[in-house]
Amino acid sequence: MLRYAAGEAAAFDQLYARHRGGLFRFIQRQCKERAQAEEIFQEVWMNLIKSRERYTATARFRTYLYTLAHNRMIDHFRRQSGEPLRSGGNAEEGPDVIASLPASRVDEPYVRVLSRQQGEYLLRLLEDLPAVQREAFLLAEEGELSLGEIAEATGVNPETAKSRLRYAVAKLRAGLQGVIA
Amino acid sequence: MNAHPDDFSMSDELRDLSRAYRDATKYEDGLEPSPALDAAILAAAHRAVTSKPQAVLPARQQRRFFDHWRLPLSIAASFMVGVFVVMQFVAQKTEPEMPMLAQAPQVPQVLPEPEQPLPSPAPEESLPSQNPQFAQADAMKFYEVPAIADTSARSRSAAQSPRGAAKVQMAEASQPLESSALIAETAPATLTESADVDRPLESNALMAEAAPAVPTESIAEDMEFANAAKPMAAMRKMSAKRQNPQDWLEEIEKLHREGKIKEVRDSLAEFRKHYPDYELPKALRDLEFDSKAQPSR
Repeated sequence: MLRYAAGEAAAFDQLYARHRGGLFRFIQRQCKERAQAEEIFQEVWMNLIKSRERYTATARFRTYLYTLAHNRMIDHFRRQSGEPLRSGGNAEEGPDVIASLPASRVDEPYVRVLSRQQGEYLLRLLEDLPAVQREAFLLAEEGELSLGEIAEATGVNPETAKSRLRYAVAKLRAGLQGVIA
Repeated sequence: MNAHPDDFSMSDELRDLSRAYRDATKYEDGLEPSPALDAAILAAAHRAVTSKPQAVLPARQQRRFFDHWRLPLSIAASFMVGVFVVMQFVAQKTEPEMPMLAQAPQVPQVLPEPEQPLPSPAPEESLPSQNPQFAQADAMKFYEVPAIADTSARSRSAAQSPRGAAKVQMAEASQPLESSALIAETAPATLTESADVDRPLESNALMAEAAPAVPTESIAEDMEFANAAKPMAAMRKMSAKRQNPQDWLEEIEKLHREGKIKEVRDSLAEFRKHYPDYELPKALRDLEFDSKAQPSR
């Protein structure tokens, strides 16, 4: 990004090729319509282009990019229907939700290889997650961000980010458990 | 997914879920941006680097900027044009005065000294102000500085005044004084005086040749005016005395003592016209009697 800000246009091509897929999926999984996802995707990159001269390398570039995307998503949801992306933590979740979930079954073969039908079911479970938990999971999966980076990108403290991610993982696992079992 | 040291203890659970998520993603189609969108974003990125940042602005914003400033700019431009037209109009109104000054009648340069100075304390200034012709010349002195007129104005003034024509000849004859002579054509009154200081003999001779009838007539008129003014002042002085017969008689007696018999008799005759019954002193009575007896003397 610094090379692009210095005027090297080819550096942007590399950045774009590296992050286009993950960013688009991050956006698409939170928007219902593809046209909206494309619009938001384009606006994120345009904001990046416009703010290239103000960019400082204080964090990883992907953290910066997904912060832009997070802010743009918040604007989008606010315009549509109030505040679906609440940043107030996970008050709706009780402290015993995770404890009630089944234990990890990593070594079981159905977890290692999902069928197409099961994959679609997992994605449906992801859609049904609360927005902040879904976002935390997608930032971890598509953006490959750590807990600290998720907290930075979403503007919350690391504990909140950790809690959101844990709830997301637990719910997804619980859903899959029911289907496969 | 990343395995950061600070990540939570359920990293194993995340790992297998992550694998499951990636497997699920494989079955999905169309989760990539379209090629057209890719091309548009890349083109915008390249444009932003190769051109000015303003080029990234949508055309709609540029139009909005122009629409916002169109009215103020139009008003400002109209105001400037109006001011320019008014200034041009004023400038054209003042310009025609200059040729009129160049065509004004010429003023004689060398005036003969009057035989007796006039009673005014500054005769050089008061005499022209009493004569309308000189007053016009005085007015011209105040306009002599911007007298650098164009060639047509110079030829016009030269043709209308013989002195101007003479100045042109003088300027042609003396090359070093060309510039001063050209200026002198349009401002003859004072600038020729400075030229005369430089070359007094030559210029005075030329001026004498070139200044014929018009100045001479005006000089004669001025002399008549000056001569007429002198007895008028004496008459005013006398009329004040005639209001008092005693003072008048004392004046006549004074003339008598000085031996001016003729003036005494004339004054007595005048006195009698105003005061027929007034009693005269004895000496004057005798003279009055003699003047009646010998009226023709």
